[in-house]
Amino acid sequence: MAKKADKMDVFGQIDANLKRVFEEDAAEDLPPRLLELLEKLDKVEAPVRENANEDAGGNDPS
Amino acid sequence: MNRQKAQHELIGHMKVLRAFAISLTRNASSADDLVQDTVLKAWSNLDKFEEGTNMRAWLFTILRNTFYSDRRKAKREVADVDGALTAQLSEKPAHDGHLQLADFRAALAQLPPEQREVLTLVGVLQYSYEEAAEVCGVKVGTVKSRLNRGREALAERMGLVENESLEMTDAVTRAVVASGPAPRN
Repeated sequence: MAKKADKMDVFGQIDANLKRVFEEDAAEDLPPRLLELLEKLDKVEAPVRENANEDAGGNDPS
Repeated sequence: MNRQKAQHELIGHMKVLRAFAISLTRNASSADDLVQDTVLKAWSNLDKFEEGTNMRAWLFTILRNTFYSDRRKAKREVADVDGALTAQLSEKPAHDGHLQLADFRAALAQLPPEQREVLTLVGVLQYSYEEAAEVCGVKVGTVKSRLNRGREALAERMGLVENESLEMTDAVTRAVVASGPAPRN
């Protein structure tokens, strides 16, 4: 039980650090090329690659 | 789905989508490429998205499928793609006061992406095991196992593994607490 409690505390610290890293990355400004893409999205003629449908429709990474 | 509405919703997910991409690639430039591909794929397959369902989860699925698809191709082209990625681990400089987080980033970057994505989905974004399993296209048991292995590895690399003295302290504390307050005279 003691070990389990300690483990949960350690995992809590790990998750807190994961959140800090993720929030730091998510707080960054989007680069100009992505902003431009989003602004012009309705005018974009999206190039559909061979596997585009698989990636967009299925969950199987294999 | 109305494309203008979809565009607006998509824009709202962009920063989190990019952070998820960084968690997989550990490289901002590669992450931007990945996000760009993901947005274009999502846009060209918008008719497959069911309105009212979770667009963020749908985008995550496209992004991680694209990541693994590109990775397989790269592995065929370059023998040591993992080695190349490992060399980019210290991309973020260790600023004053952020040394510990920089160390954590470095430790995180050494994990397999399969573990990093589960750590992000469950540990950060609070996805249920079932939701994470759906995004990753794996069984719930696999999600749990990857999550546990990822957390264990990070704890070990950050020196957070429980030590005996801590356990002793906890045991003593518990014994004192369990015994209740000392009788008053």
